[in-house]
Amino acid sequence: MSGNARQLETLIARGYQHGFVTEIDADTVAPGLDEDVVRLISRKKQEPAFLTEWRLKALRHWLTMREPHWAHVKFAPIDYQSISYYSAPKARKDGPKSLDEVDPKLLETYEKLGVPLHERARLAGVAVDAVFDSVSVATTFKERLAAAGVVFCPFSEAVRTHPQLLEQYLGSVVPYTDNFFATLNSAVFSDGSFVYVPKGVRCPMELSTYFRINAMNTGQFERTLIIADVGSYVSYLEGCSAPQRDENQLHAAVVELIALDDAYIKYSTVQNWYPGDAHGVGGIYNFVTKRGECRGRRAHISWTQVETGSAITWKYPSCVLRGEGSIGEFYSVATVNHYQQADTGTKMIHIGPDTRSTIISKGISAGHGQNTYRGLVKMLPSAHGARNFTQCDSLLMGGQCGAHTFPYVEVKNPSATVEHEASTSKISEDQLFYCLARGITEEDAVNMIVSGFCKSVFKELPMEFAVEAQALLAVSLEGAVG
Amino acid sequence: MSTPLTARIVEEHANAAAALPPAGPTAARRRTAIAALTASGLPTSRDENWKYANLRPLERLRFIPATATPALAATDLPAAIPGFARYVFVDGAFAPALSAPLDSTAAAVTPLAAAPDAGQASAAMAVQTPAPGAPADERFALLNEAFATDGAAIRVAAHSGEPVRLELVFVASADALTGASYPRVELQLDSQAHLLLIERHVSAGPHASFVNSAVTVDLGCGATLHHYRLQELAARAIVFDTLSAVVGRDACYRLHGINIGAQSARSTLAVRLAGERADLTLAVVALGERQQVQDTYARVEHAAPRARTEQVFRGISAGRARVAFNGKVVVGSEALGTDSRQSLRGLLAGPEAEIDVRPQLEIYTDEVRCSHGATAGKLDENMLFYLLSRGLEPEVAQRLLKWAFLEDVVARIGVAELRRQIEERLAQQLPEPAARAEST
Repeated sequence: MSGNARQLETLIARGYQHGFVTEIDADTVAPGLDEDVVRLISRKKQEPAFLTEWRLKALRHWLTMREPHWAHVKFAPIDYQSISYYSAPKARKDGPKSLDEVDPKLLETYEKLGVPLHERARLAGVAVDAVFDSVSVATTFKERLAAAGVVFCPFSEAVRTHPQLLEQYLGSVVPYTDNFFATLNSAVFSDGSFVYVPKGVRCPMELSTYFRINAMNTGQFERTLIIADVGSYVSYLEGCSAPQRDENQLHAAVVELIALDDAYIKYSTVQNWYPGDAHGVGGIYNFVTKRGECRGRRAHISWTQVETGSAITWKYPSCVLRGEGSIGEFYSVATVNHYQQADTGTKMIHIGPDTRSTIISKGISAGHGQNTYRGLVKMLPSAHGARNFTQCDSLLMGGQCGAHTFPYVEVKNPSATVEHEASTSKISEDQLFYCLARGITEEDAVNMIVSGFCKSVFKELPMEFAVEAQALLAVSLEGAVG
Repeated sequence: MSTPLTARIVEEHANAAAALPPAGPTAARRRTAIAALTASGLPTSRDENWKYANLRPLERLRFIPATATPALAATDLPAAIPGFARYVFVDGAFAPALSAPLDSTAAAVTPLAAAPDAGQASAAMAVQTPAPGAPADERFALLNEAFATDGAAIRVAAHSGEPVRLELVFVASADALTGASYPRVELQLDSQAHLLLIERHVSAGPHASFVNSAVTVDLGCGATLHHYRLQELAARAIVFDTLSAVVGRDACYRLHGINIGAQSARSTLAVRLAGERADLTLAVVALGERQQVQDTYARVEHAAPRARTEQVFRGISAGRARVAFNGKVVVGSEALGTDSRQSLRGLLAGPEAEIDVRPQLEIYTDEVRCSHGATAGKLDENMLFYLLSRGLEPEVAQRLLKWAFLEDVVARIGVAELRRQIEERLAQQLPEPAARAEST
């Protein structure tokens, strides 16, 4: 195994490929949080009074809350008063009108990340709403979407153009009182994406947003709201990557999805934020609240996530299945290496009759990583004939890592059926031996086995994401054979 | 963590201290326990591992031990099991008149109250009795330690040869408003010892008794313990039970729990597999009807290489009952070659019944094989259809399938007479009214 050990060392020694900082002028508020800061954020974004008031209610509630510690993760105390809650790239006069006007350094950053806004976006048929340090600076393909009637814009723009939709739906899935981090987000959220797909419209392209964290000491508080009206379809892709730095950065995002009758929302995430170095120094704290509500009959929400980055991941993309016959799905691959910690999973709350949910979770632990699946399946008394199937498997690579499975099954309706199964093991010696005997190198064999392990999740990803996810996984794990 | 509840416990303890006999858990241990309890407080439903338990009755209970011992006859007790010595405890106190002592030199059973210096066994047990830093989930054992007046210290000598057969019957007779019952067992098996132990908790009369039992088990190298625990308390009883066990090298522990009785029951089982190749089978049946709450939390810790765990749970919830099983397996970084399996299944047999199952794995090394499966739902339609097509009445078919569902656990009971008694009891209990409701 010395060969493996060497490979592992090479891998550990490898720097974070996306680690660089673009120096641009940022309009950053001094660290600290009080009502004045919240009012300032709201004023800077020219928000209507109801939103300012909503933020303030959230802040007042947040001040009465305590940071939760039930997750299976360890981290140093966070000083919330030392975080700067607003940072925006400085506007050139009235802001960029086209890509040409965008700060060239910003575009350069995207180039380094392999996210050319125009060419690849067009080739891939993807509209990119690039969120750069909390304020969207460029949006493409607007016309095509507008022709279909789809609204896809930065949150701050939606505040001005569609205030009535916002007032109706904002906080209706994740209320501002929901949990410590969601409440914090509600008070200080900077920007994010807003999507509205009108009745009967099939969104003509995959929607994609690249989130990045850039300015020093700036927490990111994204807020995403997607509304799929009756009979509509939308596929939303979210990809993440962040520059290298030593200080832990807090990221507390909120994503709300609303699916009405016969609507289908597919939400895919590839998360590759800076995980900290080989000794567990630095890295992003990713404390996210994601929840979708199937309000209408036969509504369908599907979450797919590939989590390879962040020092600490704490997220549970959930589905509230209210409409009769609605469907919730959760497909997840989570990998931890070095000193990464992940406590992730889902919640499926079955309220309506004949609701169905599927959970497929694959956890991979290597190095000193700690990976936890935590999932709740709840059948309320009204959920007649509801069904759930859950499978969560863990793969262990090396004797120092941990894999934990904490499912919760709560059933209050006798006609509901819940099945849960899970297994934990290391890579099978037999499978490995078979591959080696066929002349396949150990590294390729492990990649092959791991990607087979994750196949049932990857096949749910849109094609371009599936390729990226597979490459990410190979990079983060190659040589880490136990 | 001082709450009105803990303040009241401390006050009742202070008032009762003079009346509590000096033997059993010694006065010093009592003080330590009450101090630890004051510091930590009892769990609340906000505690992760207590969210399914019913803790509300605690608010209106009295904690002082019940004193008035009623006149009971042997006929008030469950039928004796042939070949088993019997020790009966009424409201936690040893009742020699009802007992049939052990006729063997291989083992010693000492009532804790009668032990001259709290007994050697209990001194040995002190090492593993939850002390000040007690894990959060074993805090009810502190309550027992602070108040218990009597109990059984059992020691089985090394190489006992033929298995020692022993039955402990704990009878609760007092109403919770007059006093509590604190059954206590301190069990030690030396190396290669072999014990068959039946532990029964029953009621005399329909009183709403409060029972808080604590059992400690220490299995030496190669020891074997088959432990059958039956909880068949009266319908209004409240019971909290804590068992903590340490299993040594090559030792084998078969723990069977049959939880049928009480209004509200919570059983906390903590087993540490401390020696290489320790072997644990944990099989639990829980039945709930009316508004019963049957909650079990089992934490198994693999702290040595090549140990094995098998957890099986079968629960049926009818009426408006809640039946919960929270089974956690923790595999430490030193526990290479661990083999652990969990199969937790719940059956809902009433429109307002609830089943909660949590099969949890916490694993810190890679050289392991761990799996779990959990299901919750109603009876399999296909099986039911099959039986109906063979001409069985719907009710009979349903009871047959429920019976088969529990058989995974019941069939493991190795003492024939005991199994017969349990089967009879289960047959009475199988939730019929709901079965009828379901078939319509």
